[in-house]
Amino acid sequence: MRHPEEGQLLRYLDGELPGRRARQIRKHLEACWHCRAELEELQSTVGDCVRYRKNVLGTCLPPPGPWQDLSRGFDRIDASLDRESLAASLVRAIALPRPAVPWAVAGAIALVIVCTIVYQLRETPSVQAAALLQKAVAVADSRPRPARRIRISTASRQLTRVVGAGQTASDAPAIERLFRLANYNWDDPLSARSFQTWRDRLPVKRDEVATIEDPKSPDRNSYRIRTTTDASELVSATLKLRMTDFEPLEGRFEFRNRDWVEMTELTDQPTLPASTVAGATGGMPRQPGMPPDRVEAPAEPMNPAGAAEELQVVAALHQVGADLGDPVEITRDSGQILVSGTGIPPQHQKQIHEALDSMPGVVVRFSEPGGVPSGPGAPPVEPETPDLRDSAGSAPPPFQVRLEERLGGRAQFERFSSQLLDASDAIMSRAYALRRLAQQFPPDVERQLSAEDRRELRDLGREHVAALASQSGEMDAALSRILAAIGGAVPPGEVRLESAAWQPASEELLSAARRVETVLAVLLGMAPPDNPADNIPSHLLAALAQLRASQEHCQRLLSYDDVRQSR
Amino acid sequence: MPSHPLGAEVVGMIRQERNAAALRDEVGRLFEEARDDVYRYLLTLGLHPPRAQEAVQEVFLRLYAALRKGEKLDNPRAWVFRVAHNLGLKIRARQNSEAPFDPQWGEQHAGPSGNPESELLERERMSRFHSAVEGLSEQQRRCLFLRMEGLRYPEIGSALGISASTVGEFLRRAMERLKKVRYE
Repeated sequence: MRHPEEGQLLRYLDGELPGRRARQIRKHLEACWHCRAELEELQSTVGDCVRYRKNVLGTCLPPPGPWQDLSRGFDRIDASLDRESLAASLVRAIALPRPAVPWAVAGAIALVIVCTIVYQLRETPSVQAAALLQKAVAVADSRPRPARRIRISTASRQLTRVVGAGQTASDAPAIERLFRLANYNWDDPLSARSFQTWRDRLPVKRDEVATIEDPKSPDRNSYRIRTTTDASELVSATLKLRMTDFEPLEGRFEFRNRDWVEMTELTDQPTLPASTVAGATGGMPRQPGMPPDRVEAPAEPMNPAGAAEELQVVAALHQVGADLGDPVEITRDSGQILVSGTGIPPQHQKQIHEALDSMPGVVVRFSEPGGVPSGPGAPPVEPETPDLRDSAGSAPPPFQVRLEERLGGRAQFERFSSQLLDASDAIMSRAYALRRLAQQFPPDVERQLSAEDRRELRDLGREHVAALASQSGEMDAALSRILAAIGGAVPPGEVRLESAAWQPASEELLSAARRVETVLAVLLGMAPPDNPADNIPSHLLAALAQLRASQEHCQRLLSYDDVRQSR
Repeated sequence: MPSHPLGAEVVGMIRQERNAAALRDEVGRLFEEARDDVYRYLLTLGLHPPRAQEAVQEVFLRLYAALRKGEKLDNPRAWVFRVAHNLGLKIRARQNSEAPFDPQWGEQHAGPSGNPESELLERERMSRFHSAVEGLSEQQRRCLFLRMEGLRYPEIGSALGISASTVGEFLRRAMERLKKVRYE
């Protein structure tokens, strides 16, 4: 008795076999207990899937907002189709029944009609966007602008900033640099005027305008203007304006280097827990209908928490490992240090509390993801580890076949992949942690620290680099021979490293780590290559060499304290 | 009717109006029926919830536009999932970070028995099942999720750009792994 081949039973159950084969299997099943038991097992797994879909995947329902009525969208589609068919019948009317009209004339008229329609379709959003911005600027100019606070989120951090209080302190140099490079006004980034000024300068751009309705509270209805371009470092900017008063509510900015920044206007939350935090750290996104709060520029505190205190907080977080991966943010304002985070596992929350609660002037506050508004301003999501996946039905590239052969088969390949991915993960989390440290303590802030604090800061940095080096060493050891064996060679050429301080060097290190991560994913078949002709093994060897050089450079800079040397 | 061009035009317009109204009903019905399913699928692709919800609406509007333009669709549900899949990948690429699918354990997790002990067992099993699903390859998961939504192999293949037999192979591997959860 020949049992059906692997997979045939599932196809049989799913009704995916041709009639003849299905009949054969049915007959076989009548005779064969073994296959029948197998079939029942498959059925139970199908049952598990059904329960999983309902009870596990179903927990994400219902979605965050109510479902909108589609009829407005239908109207829009009907209108645009009617325009198209009107154009078509006009062309027909002109061109077909009247041979007296010369073809050239008919053609020219048809062309004009088509061009007009295309022009309208293409230009409408631009005209709308320009008009909306113009109105918003006029409204903003017509009323006094008190200082207000905006929450700024990036992939790696969150901070709160007061704008309009005449202060232009460099509170986030890395973000500021991005905006300055893009010629976008950083002093008042969440405003219609800044958006307009940036947009007007673009020689080529594309606009989208959408209206967003909130049936629960119509005051929150807004216009969303999105402008994309290739002519600026800022490749896409989105601004949400409240319909009623054109007040900017949210903004999202995406840069050519794939960094992104989101901003939400904040308003004081009157029902904050009896927290000791005052001033500019707490707050909820602006509520509709409420006038902008008059937020005074933070007064000089008596004993302001400074960079040294912040360093102590960073060191304490490091002690409990909360600087690797957890979305913990540290903000320093009004003499307090606020440590906050969203979606941190309870166990980590407890450790963080234990580490920080005894420190004066430090406030710890966690929130759950559900309580945080979604969309722009949502907490940064940790980069997800890519998982193992098999090639998408198409033949794997030759280097992968060779790699698999070298390793001795699919199972070994998967084990190898998962080890490398773990190492790459660890490298990334160290590189991020170091970069974060560099952003918190840029050179000018570091210079103001005492020698002892500087040493502590650099010890922290060195520890990250050392851990990164050990992981990348393991990766090197696992990869270099096998890459060479499948045709990889390190291209000649010096690795250029120009940073003179460890803070910018940490950026280079992060890019190098990202490069390794990206090429590794291609090697393991988890991402398509940018260019199929690329020699991926060589690329990976080069990326590893760059990473090695970057980490050594960083370590050197961290070990050499120029302030101490110059004193 | 070449002798009454105006009459023919008017009849045509009325027919079109009626047609549009019928299509609205049809798409509206399918929207109510399938929007949660499409939304859930987009979350498993890694979209952030508000983006996923916007995308669902967009997909059904596209369905309406396609039908209005006279496209004949054998299985609109499969069409919707195919378009949702492609749109979802585009949005995911733009959103810079993936939202890992995060089930709310402890909510709506009760089994049908009402017996706390068996509920606990069921919850543990589903949690293991979830880990096993997470451990599947991206393509296996995609095939599995689309199969859960009732798509046939060729329809899944057309959504993912692979052949129906590859879908069968991915599903076989996926079921093989998931079967083992019962014996853990």
